Amino acid sequence: MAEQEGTHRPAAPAAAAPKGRTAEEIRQDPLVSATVEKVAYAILDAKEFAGEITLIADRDEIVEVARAFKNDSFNYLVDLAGVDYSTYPGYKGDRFGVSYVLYSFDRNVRVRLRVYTDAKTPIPSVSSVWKTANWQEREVFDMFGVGFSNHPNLERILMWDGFNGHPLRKDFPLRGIDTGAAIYPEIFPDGGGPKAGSTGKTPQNVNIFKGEWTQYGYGIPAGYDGRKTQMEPAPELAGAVADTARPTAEAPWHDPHLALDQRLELAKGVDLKAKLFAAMAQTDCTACGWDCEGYAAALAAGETKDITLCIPGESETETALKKLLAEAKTM
Amino acid sequence: MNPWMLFFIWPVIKFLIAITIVLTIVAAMTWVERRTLGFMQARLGPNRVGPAGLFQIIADPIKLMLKEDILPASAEKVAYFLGPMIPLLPAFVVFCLIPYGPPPAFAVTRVNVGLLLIMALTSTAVYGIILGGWASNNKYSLMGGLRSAAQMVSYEVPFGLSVVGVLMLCGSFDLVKIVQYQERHVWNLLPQLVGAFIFFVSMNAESNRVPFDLPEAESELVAGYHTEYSGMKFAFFMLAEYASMLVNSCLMATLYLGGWTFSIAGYGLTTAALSKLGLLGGLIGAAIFFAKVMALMLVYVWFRATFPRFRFDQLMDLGWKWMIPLALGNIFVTGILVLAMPNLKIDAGIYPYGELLMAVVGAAIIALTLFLVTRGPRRPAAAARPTEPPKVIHASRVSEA
Amino acid sequence: MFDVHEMEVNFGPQHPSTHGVLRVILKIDGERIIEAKPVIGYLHRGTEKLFENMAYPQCVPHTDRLDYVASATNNLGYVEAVEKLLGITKQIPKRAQLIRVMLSELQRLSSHLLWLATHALDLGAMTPFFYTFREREEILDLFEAYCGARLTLNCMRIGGMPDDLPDGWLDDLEEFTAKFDPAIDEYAALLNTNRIWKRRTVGIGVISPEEAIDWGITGPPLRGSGVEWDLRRAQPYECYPELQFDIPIGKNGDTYDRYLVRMEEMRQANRILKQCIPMIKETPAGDIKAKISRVIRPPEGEVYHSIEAPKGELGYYIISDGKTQNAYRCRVRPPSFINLQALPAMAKGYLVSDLVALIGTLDVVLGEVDR
Repeated sequence: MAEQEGTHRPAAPAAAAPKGRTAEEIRQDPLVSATVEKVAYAILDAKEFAGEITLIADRDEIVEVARAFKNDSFNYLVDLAGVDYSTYPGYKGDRFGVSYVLYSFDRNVRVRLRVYTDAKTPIPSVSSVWKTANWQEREVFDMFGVGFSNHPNLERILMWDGFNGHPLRKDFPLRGIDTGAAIYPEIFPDGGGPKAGSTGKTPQNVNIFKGEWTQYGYGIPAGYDGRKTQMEPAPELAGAVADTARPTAEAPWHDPHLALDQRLELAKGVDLKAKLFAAMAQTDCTACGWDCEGYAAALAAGETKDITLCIPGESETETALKKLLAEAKTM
Repeated sequence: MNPWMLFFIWPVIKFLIAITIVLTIVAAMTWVERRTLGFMQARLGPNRVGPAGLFQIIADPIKLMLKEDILPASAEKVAYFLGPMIPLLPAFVVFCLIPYGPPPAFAVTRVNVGLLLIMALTSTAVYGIILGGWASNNKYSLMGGLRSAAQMVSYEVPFGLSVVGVLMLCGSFDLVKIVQYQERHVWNLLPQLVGAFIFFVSMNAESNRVPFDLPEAESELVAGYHTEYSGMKFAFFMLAEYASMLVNSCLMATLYLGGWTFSIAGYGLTTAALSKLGLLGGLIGAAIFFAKVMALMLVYVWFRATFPRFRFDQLMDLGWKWMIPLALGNIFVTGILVLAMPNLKIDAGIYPYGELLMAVVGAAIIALTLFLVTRGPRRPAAAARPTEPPKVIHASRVSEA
Repeated sequence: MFDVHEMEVNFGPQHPSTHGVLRVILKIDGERIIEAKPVIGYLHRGTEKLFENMAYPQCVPHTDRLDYVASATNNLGYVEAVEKLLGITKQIPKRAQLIRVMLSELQRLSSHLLWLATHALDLGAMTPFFYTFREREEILDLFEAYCGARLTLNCMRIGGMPDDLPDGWLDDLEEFTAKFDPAIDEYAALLNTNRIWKRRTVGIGVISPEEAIDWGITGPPLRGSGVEWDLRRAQPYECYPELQFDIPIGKNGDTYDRYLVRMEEMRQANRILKQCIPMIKETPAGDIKAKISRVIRPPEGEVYHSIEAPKGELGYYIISDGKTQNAYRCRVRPPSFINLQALPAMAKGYLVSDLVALIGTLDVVLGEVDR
């Protein structure tokens, strides 16, 4: 990357480090060499980008390394940042990295130390070296779930205590129900927080508006047993059921109290439009812009291609419509 | 005159007139304060309701009356109810005792220990604040109530001591006599400069005003003792505060600024001169009195716009270590001079040499005190502006991108 | 029950002087603070997570919401970090650099004015609030004239600036800078020698230089402790090396020194603004953007870049995996968060009234603390 870097920017000033130095050369850099020598056993690797030196340190020796740097005038811990490398392209190694940016007032220079760890192994805390590490380590713990041993007060700092999950991990679901934690113990028996991976779906694909979160590793609210029984329509939805929503001789399925399967059973052997009609929620709520029959006709005539307009029908209507339209196409 | 008329009907009528005027002034004071603050703070103040926002005086009470009166669930109900009432009642009763103009027509009652009675009544106001702060069952209210208790009790002492000098000079607790003494000599402000200074500071502290507004310090205690109060109960606290400001200003005008008179050494608008004009003279006297009172009220507002708030220990420090010794010293010096004056013959005739001597001494004492009290912690001021040219820290390699 | 002296008070999150939603759990004995424990996170919006999921240019408006009273400097730190990642720092035209400097110095003024207003109000001085807002209003007008927004400016772009200065803007700025110095004198006249103000601030919340560095404190609190360190001078960015300004420092590290430092910083910021006006008139109009590709896909690498925001060192640590248009990780190093950390140590043993002064003097903005 460094070579490509050099092509579209002016030549670096003479004082700046030349590009593409090897790890050994970086270690010999006069800015850090004195310190690196003292703790050479704990410095595993060295990198450089845009003139910034990154030293990879041994996780278990980080306190010693930090202390050595502090004694060597790097007395200001600028920043302590966690990184989750789990989706980093081509990365193999321990999942989490923690970067310590150090600054020396005497030399006016920054150096970055980094250690890697997995989710289970704690990193020795540097809060005994710099007081400022206290909250920053708490934040890394909060956001990544990386532990710090010998930390005086390792608890969550930005999220609340009952929160289950670590938001900056790459597998933290971006969409999902609000993590109500302690408020809904029956929904979140173990303190709440979205959990990923239990359904094989990637979290990003979960559609909260269609209730998919119930199959997503959460408990199910009391009184709600999925799709097996027809639930009473919500009060505001019940009011939306129009007068016209009653079965007729031509359309015996036009009854909002029938389940989808029953309606499709009644609609066997009729034309496409009637089948589509039967797949609707039968409430004539006009949320789609037509009544149920009108939407079916519009779909059948190709007037609209959008099969997601039936709101009370939820995803089951959508699935049925998709299936019916696909069948009609193959015929 | 019919004794009923003399001792009951007339006083009640006069009280009602006085209380109406007082209430109007208290309400108007909110408008005056906000407009004046606006003027001082580069803004407008209330200007929407009525001409120049004058009807704000009416709109505010209406709003407060229509607001929900919240009773916190765990409040001590009786005490919570009594809290706002207690400071209000003495504040209104006190207005019966203050002579607004030449007696007898312009004083509701004339009590020969008027000053003592007024001070006794006004000091009961603190109970309401403590009670209200405690009964709200809120930690901030409690802290406000406690601060208020400590502050009012502490400043009651210099408040009382500061008027002793006036009493020694005038030889009476009767407010009318105190005024009449001043019209024959000079305003007590001059000989009692130290006393007046202590009185003024203490009355600021007594009425919980900036810079002594710790019991209701909004940036520390949310709203202090009245955090939980709303609607009319809150309005009562506010009313009591303004009424107490007014009482204190009236007292100060009476004790130190010559009350309704405007005269020196018996010349000018004395009681006798005003009495010759009959009712008109009385009204002029009342106008002079209220002009003095309003000037003092504006000083309150001016203070509010100028000062930050004291810290609690500093407030106590000021009260106990500076105000009380100063007041005692004032009593001592005044006592000596009062005893010495007849012997030295400097009180003779119409020229108030004695008072002038005391004024000079007092001014010197105040100057010294202000210097000592405001010197603050001793340390050199920080060098905020380095004069040498800026030093460029050696250029960084790391920051060069 | 009478041997219990301590009371636990919940100071915030809804409290007039916690500058937002800071909550401090206080253990007090009378009025004296035995222990103060800040509880933060009420304003956490997951900004760093958001940055990972949107393209580099899309992040700029989100930086506005960090320190929402100083959004121009937030923008500046972010766009400079990305430019450093792209390696185009040197290609930014002079005019764009000057506009950036002017906007961020104006932002420093507006942030410090807001600090002064609230700090003084917390200590009971009411009038400075209105005086400072009078000037802040004019600064916000200048922002509005430049970018249409007054608070969340979103006024910088990767590689330059979105627009050139509107007509007459420099004249307005010149007028403003001319009357700003007398305005500072006016605030100083209200407070500098006010004895009550001095008693409330002198000797309160003293931090020694060593402690300040240990706590990672930056910005005016660090300089108030006597450390002459300002990123504009130590690691200059944009065209700061060409500008003349002093770095004010304090001696005692108390609240009063921090007050004086910030007051002097306002004067210096105004001085920088005055120098920028003739400089920008020499640059060609319209030259405000470097020639960079529309799609921003930096090479693989990681940079940490920080600027001197009004609150302290505002750093952005960006990791790019070289494959996508999103940052793999974007960490914000918020000065307020790290400065606030010293609050419990500073407040211990002082009175509740001093806590208010300390929160004010650290000048925390909770949007930045909680991100």
